[in-house]
Amino acid sequence: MSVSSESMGRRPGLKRLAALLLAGSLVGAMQSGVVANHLRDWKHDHSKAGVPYRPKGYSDLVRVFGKACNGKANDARTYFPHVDARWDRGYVYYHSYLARNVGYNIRTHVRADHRDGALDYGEWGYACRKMRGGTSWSAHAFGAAIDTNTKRNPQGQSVWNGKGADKTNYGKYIPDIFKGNYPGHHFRWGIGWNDPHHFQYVTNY
Amino acid sequence: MSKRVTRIALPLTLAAAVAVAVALSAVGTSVACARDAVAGVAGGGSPLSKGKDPVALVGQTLVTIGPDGTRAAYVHGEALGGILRHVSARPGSGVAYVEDRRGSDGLTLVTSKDSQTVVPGGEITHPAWSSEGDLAYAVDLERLEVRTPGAPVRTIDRPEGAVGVFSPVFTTPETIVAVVQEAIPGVTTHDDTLNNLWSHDLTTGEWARLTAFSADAHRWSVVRTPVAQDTGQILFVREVGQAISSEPPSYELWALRETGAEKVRELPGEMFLAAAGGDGLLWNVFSEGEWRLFLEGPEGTRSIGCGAVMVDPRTSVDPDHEDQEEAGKGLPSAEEVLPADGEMGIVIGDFETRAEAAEVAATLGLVGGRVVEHEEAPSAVMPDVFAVAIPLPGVLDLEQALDDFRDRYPEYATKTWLVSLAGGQA
Repeated sequence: MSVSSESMGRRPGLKRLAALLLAGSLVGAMQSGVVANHLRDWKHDHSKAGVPYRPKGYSDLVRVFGKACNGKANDARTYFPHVDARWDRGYVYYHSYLARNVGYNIRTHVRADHRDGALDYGEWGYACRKMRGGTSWSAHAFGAAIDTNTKRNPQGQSVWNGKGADKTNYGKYIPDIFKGNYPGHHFRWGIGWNDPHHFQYVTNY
Repeated sequence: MSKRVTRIALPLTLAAAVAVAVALSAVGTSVACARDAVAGVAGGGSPLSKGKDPVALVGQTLVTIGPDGTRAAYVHGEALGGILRHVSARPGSGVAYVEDRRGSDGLTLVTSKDSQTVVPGGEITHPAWSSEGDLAYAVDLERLEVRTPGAPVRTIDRPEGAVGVFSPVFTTPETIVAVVQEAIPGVTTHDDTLNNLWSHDLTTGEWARLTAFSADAHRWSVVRTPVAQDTGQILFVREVGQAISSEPPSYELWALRETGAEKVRELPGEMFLAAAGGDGLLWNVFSEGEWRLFLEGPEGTRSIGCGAVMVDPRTSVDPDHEDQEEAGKGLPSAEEVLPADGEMGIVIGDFETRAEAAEVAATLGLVGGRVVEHEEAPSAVMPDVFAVAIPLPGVLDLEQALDDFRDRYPEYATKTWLVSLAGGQA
């Protein structure tokens, strides 16, 4: 299932990949060092592309992310060190709408801070599933939610355990990266409904 | 917003009716529900309190659905300030429904004698009446409670080893069939993965498993909206999907017979049972921005307007998840806004060897495409594998860029992702 770009109404400044390829502009980009910058040069992208509009409620979620389990919902990926178990390395998949915010902003922020040790398993993103016991789709089914440090912060727990895989207590460093204003990236934290490992890019849902 | 009127007056097959609903829903417009004439307040002794007809919720009103689809609306009388969800009606017993609030929910029981709202504590869902006037419901999706007039509330813990229990249905005054959420070893998720139907004997307190559905880390199988027919036979919807797939799940109608559970038929889309009576079924389908009701009978299926029975509201906010952030809080502050700098790209992968990746890169012959590994693009590629990276400097619309790439190279469509190519050296 896919959602037409037009229906989602968020395509400002469209630049086609094909045009880029034909123009050969990638060569210049490579040579100018755009790729593989050292992290000392890394900066947050808090433009509207980096931290995009966050939908509010089911209808807005569908308008922005498309229907549950659509083809774009797992079109972006980011490497995380602890997926199903500690040092069980793998990818977290999520909606392409969040590619910059998760892949570039959040994940690189942690790495640039030399705090990968604050992460812990399980780390998950897209999952085409229903909410427990209900007829509503999980925010994960839209690729609009990320779970992290799940093992130490299971559903039902009302507090955040900040201990990372390296056994250091980082306090609320990880939630602060995801949620709210700078240094956060506008995710909604599930601790309000006792789901502390859950961060979703939609409110009122 | 444009509005169109839904008219599905002629009987259709269930598949056709749902197909129409889904097609209309795909248009993305919201069609307002017709306003029902209010027949009165949902109070004790009201016509609604007899529980004779199925009842659906439309906003803050309760609507009775007659055998021919005729509707009569009753206003929710004892508002606690929440939203209404999950309603149950049983002839001779009454009507019960949940008022979902932040924190503990209200549960309203409307009988021929009176109407009362109780706050049992916790998240209340799925009320169900027995023929004797007992009312069962789930609390926090973790346990059941049974209220019997004039007796203390009974708590029924979920089966040992189970994760949760919900959607109770009385099959006899002493027997409850409920959906039990079961654990899958090694799988931790707050969402649903495996459900089975279990029966609980109220006299012995014992649970017995009735179905044998299975699931694993990726394939899930859940049970929704069990309803009891007049015969006591249970019908339910089974939903099966793949967590990592972007294919929609399948929906099936099942029956629990004396010989065990049997699949009745595939369902044409996402739909849930609202009631079963005589030779008819009442379905809930989310269409055009609202939960709508479809009546399936021997002569076909027809739309009978809006209403939700045992489905969760989608157009109103779950009060427990309502945004409490102050207006404007959480938005990036102006001084932190920086332009997108282009360290994003597409990867094709993964490949076990550099040579494999290099061959793909050479085959594509893309300007700028090159082989990367974890050290170079640590967010994009995991250790010990290789990928072909295509940087997208200056591209604001990454999703369109990925679509364009896949259109041009469909053979790599399932092996391509948007990634951050930010550098690996701190």
